[in-house]
Amino acid sequence: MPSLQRPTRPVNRGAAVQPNPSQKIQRLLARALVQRSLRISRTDHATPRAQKSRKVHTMGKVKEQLQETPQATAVAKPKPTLAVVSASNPYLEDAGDGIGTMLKFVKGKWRIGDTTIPIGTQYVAYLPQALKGWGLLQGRQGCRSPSRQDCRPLSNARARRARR
Amino acid sequence: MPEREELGDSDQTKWEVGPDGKPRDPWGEQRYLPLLSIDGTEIVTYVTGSSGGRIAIQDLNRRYGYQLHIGKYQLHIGKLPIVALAVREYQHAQFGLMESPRFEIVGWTDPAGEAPTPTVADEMSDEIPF
Repeated sequence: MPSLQRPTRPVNRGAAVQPNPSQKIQRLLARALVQRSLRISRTDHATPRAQKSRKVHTMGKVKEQLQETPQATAVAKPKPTLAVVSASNPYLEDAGDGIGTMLKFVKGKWRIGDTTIPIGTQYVAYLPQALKGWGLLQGRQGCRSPSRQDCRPLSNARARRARR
Repeated sequence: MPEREELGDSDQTKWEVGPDGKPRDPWGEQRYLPLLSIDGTEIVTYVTGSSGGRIAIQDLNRRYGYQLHIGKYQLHIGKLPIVALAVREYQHAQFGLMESPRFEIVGWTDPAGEAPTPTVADEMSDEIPF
């Protein structure tokens, strides 16, 4: 009588069966997620005593605390006011529309008219009021600012830009 | 500032001949820099149409802007530079040793009084009650 034997599965003894790396990562992630969800559920279902000791920061409670405490009405420290350059401008007050006395640099020397100004003389430079424009040369007599009639009418777009 | 083409006088045949023998544009770019003496009594304006003068003002503007906003932790906001008149020498390829104007920043002054300049720590120390 033939003996009944369970068929044996072929075993590959040469190479050990390695799990797929992506499957391993997925398993690890799933385990981490399960542990995290367990931790969250544990804190959610904590005892009333534990819940009492926990500090809950909701916006409503924070607002209530702010209304109760005197610090809530404290005003933020004001920033120091910066000095404004145009607050006091002797140049504009005195010179107005003109440009005052002209200082020039002629042949290596600083001059106001015929007077030579020594090197090292100090001035306060009003750089925010520095101007740039076109001058009309008049032969050897130098340059003058053109009158309004000398300039062509500006386009509306340019005039708007100039007004800004 | 209008473009050169908007000023007219564009016909170069009507221009005067310059020292180099070429037609000279009757319109030139001018720059004006207001200056106030240290004692506050004398007001002068530096006027220039030369390239050296333009470079001097541009250089002063560049250093002023750097020290005002970037360098020195913005210690000079609201202040104006005190400049000393100076001369810069350089070697020109055609004319040899040349001199051009230069402004040296030697200090700073507050035109609206000695207001305290806020430091970075002051700017960041706002008291927020919560």
